[in-house]
Amino acid sequence: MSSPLERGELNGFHVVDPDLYDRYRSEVLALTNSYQVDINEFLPDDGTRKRGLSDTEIADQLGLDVRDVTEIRVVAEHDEYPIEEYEASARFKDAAAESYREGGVKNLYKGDPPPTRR
Amino acid sequence: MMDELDWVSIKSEILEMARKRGAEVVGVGDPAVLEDAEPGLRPSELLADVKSMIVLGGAAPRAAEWQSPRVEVMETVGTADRMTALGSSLARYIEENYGYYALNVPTATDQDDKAFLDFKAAAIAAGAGGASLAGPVLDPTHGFLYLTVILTTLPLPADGPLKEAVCPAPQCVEMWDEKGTTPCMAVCPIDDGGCLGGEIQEGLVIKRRYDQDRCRDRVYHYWTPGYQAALERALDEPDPRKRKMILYGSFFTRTMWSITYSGVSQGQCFECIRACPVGSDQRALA
Amino acid sequence: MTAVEGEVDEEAAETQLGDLEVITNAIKQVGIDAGATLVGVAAADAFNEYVPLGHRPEDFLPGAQSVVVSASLGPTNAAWQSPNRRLMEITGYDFRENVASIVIAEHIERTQGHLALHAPALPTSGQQPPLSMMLAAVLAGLGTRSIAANIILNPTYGLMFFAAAITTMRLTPDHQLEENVCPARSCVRMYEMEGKTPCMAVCPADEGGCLDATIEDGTITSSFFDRERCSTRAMNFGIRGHIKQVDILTGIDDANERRELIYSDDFRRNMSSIGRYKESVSQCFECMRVCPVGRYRRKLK
Repeated sequence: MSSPLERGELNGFHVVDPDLYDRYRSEVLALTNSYQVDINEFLPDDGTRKRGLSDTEIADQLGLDVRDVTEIRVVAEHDEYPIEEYEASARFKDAAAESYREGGVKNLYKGDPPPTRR
Repeated sequence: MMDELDWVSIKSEILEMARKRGAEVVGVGDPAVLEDAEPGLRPSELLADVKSMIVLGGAAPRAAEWQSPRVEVMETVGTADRMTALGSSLARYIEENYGYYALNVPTATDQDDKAFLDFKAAAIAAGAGGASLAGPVLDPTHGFLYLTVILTTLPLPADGPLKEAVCPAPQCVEMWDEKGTTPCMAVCPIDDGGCLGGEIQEGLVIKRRYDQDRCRDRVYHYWTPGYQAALERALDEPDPRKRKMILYGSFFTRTMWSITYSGVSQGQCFECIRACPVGSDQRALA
Repeated sequence: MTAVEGEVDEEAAETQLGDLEVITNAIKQVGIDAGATLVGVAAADAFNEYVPLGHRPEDFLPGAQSVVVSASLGPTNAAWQSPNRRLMEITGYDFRENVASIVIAEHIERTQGHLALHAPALPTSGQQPPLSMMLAAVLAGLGTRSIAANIILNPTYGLMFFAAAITTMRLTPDHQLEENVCPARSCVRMYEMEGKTPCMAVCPADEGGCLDATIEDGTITSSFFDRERCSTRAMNFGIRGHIKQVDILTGIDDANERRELIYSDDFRRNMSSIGRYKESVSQCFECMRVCPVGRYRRKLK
């Protein structure tokens, strides 16, 4: 069994260098569970189904210290969208909920929705 | 009317109810023994005319949690809140069924980060455990338990302190005689970056050294103290990019999760007790 | 199931398996009695195919054999119908699945003499939980992963919330469901007409949303989920917003500007969500609102 440090799970107070962060931010994030592509368990295990990598796996792949990988990942998770996105999220939810209240799923059709059965 | 009530039976009924609802250990202490505590920690300052302290112990971590090699298990699955809920429920039961005042002492701290009451002293006075070198009150059978204290004007017969010291355990005395340390001191030695030190003589703890601040920073690793430390470091950092690395980083983020879910994150260091033999046979499962 | 070593006494083996099933069902009932809506069991080693070292049951409890997964419902049906959608952001629920999981762990330790712990599910490293409750639910046969934010949908109830207990006790495992709950037939029809399912249409990744997928012959052939954008919606107010606001505050020199931020409604709502976590667990349900799975159960008087 690997040690917490090897797994990158030793949560202490480690601050990643901002230049290192900027350099590897996108690469690290692409390998994590931030963008989940084809992870459904029903997808075939022939390379079609994928998963996010652990911090240790990413560190091995990119040749980085695992604690730096953890910090790059966590900072990037927060950093991916600015605070304005939170306001946009509230407006999105207002609109979506209102649309459903008015017309249900029918309002989601750009073309003509199918006739209601009931 | 008061003389006609059978206080022994009432006490028995209340404690039995507490056991049925999950308390592993129950006891009644005389609040008068805590009245010479420093101002702000006296039972009568919380409930005038208080006559009894009912102390309940329970909600210990599961045996598997003590065995887990992953510290985040114990850091995030605490069930201490059960004792608080039980205490509140019992206090209400006393008031509604007997017409006497009862309150569950808050486990959170008051101003200046001081407790409302010395829970350990109350537990010892009620025979709900004994003092330990590591710090927590230990029950001879169960070892470490979470505590809750109900103060009431019900005049229940008090249990006394335990007749025998729980700590040091025989194994610890043996280890002290051989190596000059005990399991808790060996895992967290005050002279080597830890929190505990002491001396045992003729099977008794005669001296205890305890770094309360360091212990607090371990028990509340990712809680308010950790939040404060990281925030201070961020505010002192003149480079905005580095500030962002601190505030968006894993440590500060983790303190936020712990604060948000503080009910399950009450204790974040158990290492002295993990090594403690008292109650350890309760954790010996396959 | 485990093979019986040595000379095989088939009758004894069958009795053994039968007894194990009885015990497993009794343990599940303990969870139901404690408030879970459903309880399933996954074999601990079933996780190994899907997650890396460090995130498997064995990593948290050496010798782990089984993972008992409890599931419960979230907002009540009335909350879904409320014309004020912000009610669902704060309506909260009772975490019965967590209560059930702890009760199950204690029951196993007390009555079976095996180690059992409540699996750690709170994120301890950014967004990353130690163990995936969603995967646990899939492996315990409680649901399948959907296009909608990879949410696990139970065929009857739709969206559910999960907790798990890991134990060294070997129990009769349930298995993954044989058919994917998603996409539902009506979703396949919509996809054929519009190129999108309802969840994709309400939150399309190619128009500033979180979801995308392809469906062929009624099955998912690819999927995409932007978890970080989803977090700005599902965790609209709380930890992440607060951290951003603190970062912004540290960079503001003007006292009036700082004051404006500190006393803003957003700042207050972030703190409120942090303080009242039980009421503010999930803050976006729009993909689930339009999902047909389990939706018809929500129509009451």
